[in-house]
Amino acid sequence: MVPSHLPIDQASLRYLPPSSANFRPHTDEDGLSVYRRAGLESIGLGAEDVARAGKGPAVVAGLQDVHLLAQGLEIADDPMPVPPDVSPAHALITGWHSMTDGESRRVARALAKLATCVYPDSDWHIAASLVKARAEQA
Amino acid sequence: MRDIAVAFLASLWSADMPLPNRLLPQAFQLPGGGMQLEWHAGSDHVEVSIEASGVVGLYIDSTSGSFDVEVVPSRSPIPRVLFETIQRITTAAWDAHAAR
Repeated sequence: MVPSHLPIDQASLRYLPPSSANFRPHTDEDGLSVYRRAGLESIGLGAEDVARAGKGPAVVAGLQDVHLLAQGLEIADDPMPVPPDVSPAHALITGWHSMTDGESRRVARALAKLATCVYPDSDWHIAASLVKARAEQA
Repeated sequence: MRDIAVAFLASLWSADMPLPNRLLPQAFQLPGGGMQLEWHAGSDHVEVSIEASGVVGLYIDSTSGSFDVEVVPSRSPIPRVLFETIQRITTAAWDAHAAR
């Protein structure tokens, strides 16, 4: 996600963990689109390659399978044709369709709190500041 | 969607919230056409999720606990705790900016 998807503390002006809005699936899709670390590593790639696959400099959030399962969600491999490099590792977090909007918001908030910044490997504020600075230099 | 957001902010910034300064929320797009407005400062966090259906989800997290409720605009009053939390965030933000 790009740094503008992260809220800031409006007093300290520090970036905070991603908005829960980033963890809600599109209603017309089968689940929340992600890339699996094991799938990336099997083709010699990592979170940095996911960050580069987007439209601009981005930070990458990481979640563990156990966090998804604890929220009643599942994850299924879903290789995609694009982008060509990281697409074999694409997967979908499913299990949202039976949820009400309220349940979906609660689960998305839980995932947002559990997510760690895996690229750049730092806390959210430092990572987002670094990525923003890179984008401004580009 | 925009109409609901504008009406919500107008209600929030009405005479019930007598602060001289206002603090704009941070806005995030929700999949499916909704919008999420957020205010954050210190341990106070507010999320207003305006769903595509028109239902509004309010979530407040602060040192006094968390509060999660759905309201229907124009039919449900805005909870007092939301005003109070946004007032604290606004005051913290303006105090911090004044000190810079």
